[in-house]
Amino acid sequence: MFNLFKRKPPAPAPISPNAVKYVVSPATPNTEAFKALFVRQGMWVKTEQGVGIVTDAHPADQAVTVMLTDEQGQNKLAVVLPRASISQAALADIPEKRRPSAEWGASKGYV
Amino acid sequence: MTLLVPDTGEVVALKAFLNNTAATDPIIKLFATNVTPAETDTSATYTEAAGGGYAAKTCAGASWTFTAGAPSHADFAQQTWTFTGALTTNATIFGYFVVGTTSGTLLWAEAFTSFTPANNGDQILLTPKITAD
Repeated sequence: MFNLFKRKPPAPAPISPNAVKYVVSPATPNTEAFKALFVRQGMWVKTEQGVGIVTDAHPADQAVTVMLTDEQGQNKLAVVLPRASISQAALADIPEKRRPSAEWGASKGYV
Repeated sequence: MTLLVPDTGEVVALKAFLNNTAATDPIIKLFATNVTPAETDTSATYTEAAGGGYAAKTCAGASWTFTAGAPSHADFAQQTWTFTGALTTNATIFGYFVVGTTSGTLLWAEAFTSFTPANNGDQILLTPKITAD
């Protein structure tokens, strides 16, 4: 009778020198830098200057145009910022008049 | 700025596309608050213009023309709002939002260069066009 636990492990397969090496991203991409990569038009974001709405975020661009808003959710100032300098706003950051429900917000990543 | 389809409009589009809920004629309304459309908006986000001869406009589904291509697009005849004078609520128009006829659900919205109607005969011209690629 074989005892499987005593068998030697198989030798690793030889790696071709032409093989492409992949780096797998973390299973839970929760770093600020990672989040900053996924900005989209209409998204509420947090910046150093306050909360605002992304108005232009072409995937190829490193710059993002954001309309900063006041406490009523109305336009205050349009700014162009580096993509890496913004992050998705928290639910509580969104002006109350324009804040979605907790459930709806969570489905969009506003927690 | 390009138009924004918020979550509510995305769901309406998906339901119509998949024959879950029939679409209804979109109604174009001008909004008179200085807001930028956001993905979490609803029709309640926007304050519709009032007074000065303003009225919302319905874009009947049968009157759109559709063209396949890169990108494919749907076009509607230019819409003209001719004002009789100043608005009676907020004075300035900052963009438009579109709702479904029966549901009132927000379909899409877009901000444009603001305009303050003041005189009889002042106009806003808008040509609806939606592209999909």
